[in-house]
Amino acid sequence: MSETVANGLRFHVEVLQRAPGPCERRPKVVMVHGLSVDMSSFYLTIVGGVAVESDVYLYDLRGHGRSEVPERSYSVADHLADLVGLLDAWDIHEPVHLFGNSFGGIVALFFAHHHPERVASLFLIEPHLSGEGWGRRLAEGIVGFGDDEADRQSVIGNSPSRIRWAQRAETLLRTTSVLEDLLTEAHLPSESLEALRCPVFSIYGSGSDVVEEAGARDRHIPGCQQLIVPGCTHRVLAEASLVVRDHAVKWVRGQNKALTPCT
Amino acid sequence: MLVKVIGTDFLAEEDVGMQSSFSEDLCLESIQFVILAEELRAHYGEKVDFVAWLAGMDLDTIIALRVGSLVELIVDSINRVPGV
Repeated sequence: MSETVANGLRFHVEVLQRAPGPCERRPKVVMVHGLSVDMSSFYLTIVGGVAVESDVYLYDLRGHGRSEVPERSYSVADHLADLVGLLDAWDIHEPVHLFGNSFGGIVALFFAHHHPERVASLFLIEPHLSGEGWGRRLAEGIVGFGDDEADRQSVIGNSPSRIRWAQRAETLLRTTSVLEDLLTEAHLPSESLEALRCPVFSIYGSGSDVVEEAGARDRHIPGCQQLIVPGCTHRVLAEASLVVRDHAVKWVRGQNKALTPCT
Repeated sequence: MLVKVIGTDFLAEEDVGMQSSFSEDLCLESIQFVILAEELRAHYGEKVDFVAWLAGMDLDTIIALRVGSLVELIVDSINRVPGV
């Protein structure tokens, strides 16, 4: 298992690189997963396709997967500092194509706002809302998830591996400051969205609980391209993995082509 | 390799064969699947391109994978490399 120390923490990382062919430019893609999951949410869905033409950098967020689990410090600012540290540890100084799923989409948006020089483009899969009180609403949604047995059953299921995953997620929420930190998150004002200069693609499930508000939010992002996948929910990355993967591959390829071709 | 990823206690209780499902029989968690992929790459290098293999599958297919499918990938990949 590969590990890298960044921002004072030990992270489980995975770097998928190939030597570039003659005159081939391999863009760098960095993927930021959502809360309570880990890098496998990307690895088992879209990485296989994206890694054909790009170098892909994955990591388990602090407290998640096989990364270190500090008791405190789970704010977006902490995640941004982690990402800066990881990019430096990977010796990446060129702008990257930043992918974010769910909470990872929020981290990606904030990262593009605070570190525009390090982001070539954003590919956002069901990014959570980022307006006033977004953290509190997300925290309330997470806490309320346990109350709906049918919803809980549909997400967790009965397999021993999924039950172990759910137990770990509950432990994370119970023993760390994840929820507490969400309550005090700052929002990303529309002026900040309007100031984003990198190309942005966002993808949602038609049945997602954030699609309408997020759609309105995305209209503040200059030139933001949006896709809504019919019949899917907030879990569109898992529910329509091939659709998301095909769009991800096309997105990075298109961004890469826009750069000066090698001669 | 599976012992390293899953642990000896669990594997001692399971009769692992070519038809064993990673998810249902071995109860492999998704992050353990990633670690298994890392172990494969560390052991076989570029001879076995696990990531490219995954590229042709959707999530349901990956979840339903059996040990025999992975063994086939390894054997086929090694047989394709001259001099191995």
